[in-house]
Formats: sequence, structure tokens, C-alpha cells
Amino acid sequence: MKVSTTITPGDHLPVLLERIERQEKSARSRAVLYSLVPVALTIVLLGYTASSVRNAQKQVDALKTEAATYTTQIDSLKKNADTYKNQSQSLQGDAESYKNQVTELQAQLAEAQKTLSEAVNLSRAVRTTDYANAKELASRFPGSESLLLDMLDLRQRRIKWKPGGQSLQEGFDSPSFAMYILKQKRASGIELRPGESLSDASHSLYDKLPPTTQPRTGDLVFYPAGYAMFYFADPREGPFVLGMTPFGITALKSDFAKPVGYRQVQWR
Amino acid sequence: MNMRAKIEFLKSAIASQQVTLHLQIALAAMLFVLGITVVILSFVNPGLILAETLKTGQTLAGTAVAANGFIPIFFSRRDKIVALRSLLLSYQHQQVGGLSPDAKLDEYFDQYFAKVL
Repeated sequence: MKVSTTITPGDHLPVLLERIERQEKSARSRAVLYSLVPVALTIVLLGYTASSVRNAQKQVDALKTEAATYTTQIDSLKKNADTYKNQSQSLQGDAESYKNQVTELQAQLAEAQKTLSEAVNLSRAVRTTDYANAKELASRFPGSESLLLDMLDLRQRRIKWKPGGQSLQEGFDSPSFAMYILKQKRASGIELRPGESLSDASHSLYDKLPPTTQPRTGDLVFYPAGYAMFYFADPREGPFVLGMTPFGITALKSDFAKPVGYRQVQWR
Repeated sequence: MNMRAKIEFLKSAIASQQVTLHLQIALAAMLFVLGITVVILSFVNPGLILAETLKTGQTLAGTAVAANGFIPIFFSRRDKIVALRSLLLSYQHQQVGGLSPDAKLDEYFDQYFAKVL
């Protein structure tokens, strides 16, 4: 600042001093301003930055919370997935088991249908036989009376059909029943080896007895389904066979199935 | 002009300028101490003023504030005070020594204030 030419230092010292004071006052104000402005600016910038950081921190916290929620949900979903996986495996196992059961039941059904079919065929060939016509038959065939009456007696006792059965209590299948009768009546050539069961012996019955093409009353007739039946020649009503069938002890027409072969029995 | 008046005038001018100078030095020291404190705290205790993530920003801001403390020094009137004090001492020397007034000294006096003001 230049001093005006009208004021000279020599003449106006008070005025000059006043100017100097004003100038210094202004310089002090500037000094304070220059010092405080950067500080204030720094404080404002730091405040703004801190505020931004706080907001960012809040957002981060919110995102963390959200992430934690998602993590929990993911864990829950994983557990559910594991549970469903286990259930699925269990159900697959069950399905496999049911499939096997169905296959087994289908096989049983086929077997039952086959048995039913056989039973139907057998039922068509059933011949009525009781004590009355047993007596009549016995009068015609004196040698067979005892055999016929014994079997009718067993029928009266309702001896059951039992595959592999070996006693009166549990029942018999057809060959083991024939073997039982032969053993009871002491037919010749029929002996059980030591330790041999009735069922085992019955399987070799076909091979043990001598074959014949002209069966007589008391001989054995073997059929493809495994039946071993005693043959009875009845010239009046036609020949029939008597033995164990799934219906129990039953008399059937001898031609209910094509015989596999005839075997001669030597009765004592 | 009265020598005594000039001496009194110079004393007043010097005193006024010294007040300004002291204020400038105080402000500079304050800014410097404040800036350095901020810088040191950013290293010693990063989370005290601002979050730890803003450590670098705090260091830079502290450095800027400390550097600002030196700015008033550039506007220092220490040279003015030295010049005025020389004039004052010269006048006092004349007065104490009973010397005859030096016209050259008055000329310097006028030149100085013409230049400064």
C-alpha cells in the first residue's frame, strides 16, 4: 500500500501511526484467516470423509447381516438337500425292495396260477370214491381191499398235502405219501437206508420199482407233475388212480394226464 | 520534527508490528503442533481420530496442516521490525549522545515510510 503524497511521515506521525495500526490489524486478521481456513477445511474434509466412512460401514454391516442371513439359508438348504438326498436314497432302496417283492409276488402268482390250473385240471378228473364203493371195489378186487380202505381211512383223517412232508401230522406230497403207504403195507423192495428220509427215498421210487406196461390194481402210476398214484382197475367205470394231491387224498381218472410210466408193486 | 516524537512513534510502530509477529508465530506453532500430532497419532493410534482404513488420509491431512503453519512465516515482518529498530536505535543514540540532528537519518526515516506505506 502506497501512502498518499499529501501525508508525509515528518508532519503526520499520529496519522501514520494510525495507518500502521490499521495495516497491522489487517495483517493479523489475514494471519488468523490463513491459519484457520486450512484447519477448518481439513476438519470439514475429515468430517465429510468420516461421514462417508460411517455410511459405508453401515452398508457393509447391512451387507454382512444380509450375507449372514444368506449363509444361514444356504446352510439350511444344504441340510434340507442332505435330508432329501437321504430320503431319496431310502425311497430308492424301498422302491428296489418293493420291485423285488413285486417280482417275487409275480413269480408266486404265476406259480399259484399254474397250481390253480393244475388243480382245475385235477378237479375235472376227480372221481367220487367212498366207503360204499370201496366195499364194492373190494368185492371186485379182493387183493386191493386193505390198500383202498387204508387210504380212505387216511382221507377221512384229513391228512394234508404238504410238499416235502414226511409224517401224518405235517402231511405228505404225492411221492412221499406213496412211499409212506408202501412202507406201511411192507411192499417188497421198499426199505429205507440208514439215515435216509421218507422224502429222499420217495424221489428214487421210480427207479427202485420194476417197470410194467400193463398196470394192475395196486401198481404205481407216475405223472409229469410229480404225482405218484396207486392204480385201480375198474372195468365198470374205468380205471382210476388214488393218491395224495393238493386237494388231499383224492381219486382221479387214470387218464387225467399222460403217465410218465407204470411201476409194479409186489404186495406181501 | 521533534526527535522525541519520532522515537515514540517508532516504539509504537515496532510494538504494533511485534504483536503481529508474535501472533503469526503462535499460529504457525499451533498449526505445526496440530499437524504433527495428527501425523503421529495416525501411526501410533490409527483408529483414534479416523477409522484405521483412513490412516493414509489422516497422515496426509496432518502433513498439510503442519506445512500450513509455515505459510505466515513468509509474510513475516521481522525485516521491517529490524529496520525500524535500527532507526529507533539511531535516534536514541543521537538523543542520549546529545548529537546534532542528522538530516540523512530523517531522510531514511521518510524514505522508509514512503516505501512501506
